[in-house]
Amino acid sequence: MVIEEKVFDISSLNVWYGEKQVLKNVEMFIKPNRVTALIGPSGCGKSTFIRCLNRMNDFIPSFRHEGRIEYEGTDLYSNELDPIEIRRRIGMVFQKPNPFPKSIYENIAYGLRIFGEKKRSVLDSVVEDSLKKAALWDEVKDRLKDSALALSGGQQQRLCIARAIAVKPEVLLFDEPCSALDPIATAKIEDLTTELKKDYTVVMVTHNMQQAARVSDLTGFFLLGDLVEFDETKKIFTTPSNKLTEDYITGRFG
Amino acid sequence: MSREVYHKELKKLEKEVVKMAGMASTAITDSIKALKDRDIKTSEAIIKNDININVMRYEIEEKCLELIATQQPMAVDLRTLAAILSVITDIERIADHGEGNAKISLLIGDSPVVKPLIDIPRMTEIAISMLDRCVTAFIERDAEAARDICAEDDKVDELYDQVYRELLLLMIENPKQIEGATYLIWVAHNIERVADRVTNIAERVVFMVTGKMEEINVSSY
Repeated sequence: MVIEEKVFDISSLNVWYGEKQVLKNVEMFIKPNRVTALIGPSGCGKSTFIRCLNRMNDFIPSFRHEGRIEYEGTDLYSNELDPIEIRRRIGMVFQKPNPFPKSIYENIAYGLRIFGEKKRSVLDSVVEDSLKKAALWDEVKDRLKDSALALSGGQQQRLCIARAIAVKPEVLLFDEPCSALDPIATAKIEDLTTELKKDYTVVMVTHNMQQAARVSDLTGFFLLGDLVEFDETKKIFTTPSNKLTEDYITGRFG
Repeated sequence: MSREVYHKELKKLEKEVVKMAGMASTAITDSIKALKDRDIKTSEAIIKNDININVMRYEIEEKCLELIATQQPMAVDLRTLAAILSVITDIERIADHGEGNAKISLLIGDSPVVKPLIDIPRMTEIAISMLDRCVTAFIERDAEAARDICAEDDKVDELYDQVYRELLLLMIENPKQIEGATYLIWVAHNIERVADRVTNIAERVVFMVTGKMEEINVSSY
């Protein structure tokens, strides 16, 4: 695998929740403008891993980590970086769509308002731009004042993506973004993901192996806290190097 | 998530490939024996039976496509299905060579063959042994065995050279035998092709096991 640039460079990452070690000595990197998929059975550590990338685990009291996560060359957990600013630059979309109980417009504008943007013209253009990038604009442009909660699940998820995009992040973390969606909404998010990598770096946790195969450029396979194999997606799904990977993706265990 | 039903289907498909290879193998062996014994009935039966092998090939192909469409096979399973799709084409062509020999036998009809058949049955024995062991390598996922089998193609090529030279000499010496000798050259060539096709199959076995496409042995023909 050719490594040009790295957005994240993760070395010797160990994570514990209390006494229980959930990630063991993970060495990995994330390439810019690529979709990296993380796969593995439940409890393998993939969600914990993705949550380390924007310090979401900080909220869990028993969380403890060792090792280094470099983001754009800086230690992500150093005091130099403000966690709020980190989460702006590294956005996240969750398993279940979680729009705010506000209008479609306000969902997108919310982040900008928090960062102090008041000008209506700026907000309007960011809302439109974000909704377009999330492939939702055509479906909602006539009802921006409607409650976001009136949207379908698939639309809500794209709204959450638009909300993440609005604050101009560099990285998007998707934690099983399609597991609560129907196949058509899933296909839309998958197509969108491929579009998004032109502007963003995407890291996606997915339970759906075919989804990883369809949308990602690189795939990491986690098992019981170990990163068993990390390589180009086409290699992982045609000729994986590790027997455990092979057994998992061919359905011989898991 | 252990997918037992799907893996049973895959195993069943592999067994079908083995069965088809067995039918092709029999067609070749019988075609040469029938030629040697001047057994027209057997030759006719081989021609008739070729249809069954063709049908079987389509059935296996269909099953492969069905598994790809419905089960989204990955890694070694995907390579196995890709290998099967390629291997059945070669097996089907091998069977066609048997049918070809049987047709030549009918063309020769009541006339005796122009020379005693000694080297052609030897070629056949080697080619068929290669095929049978290649099928075993396929089932046992044995890339090493598959590679070794390819080397034996040279022996078949050498025998073909010998048969070809002898038959040419025969034609030069006795132009009346040109037709009969040509028939036998066709038969020898058919057998030579069988061995080539076995090396194709062996290459697919290596690919299935290792994921690497290798040209293992380039035939002189």
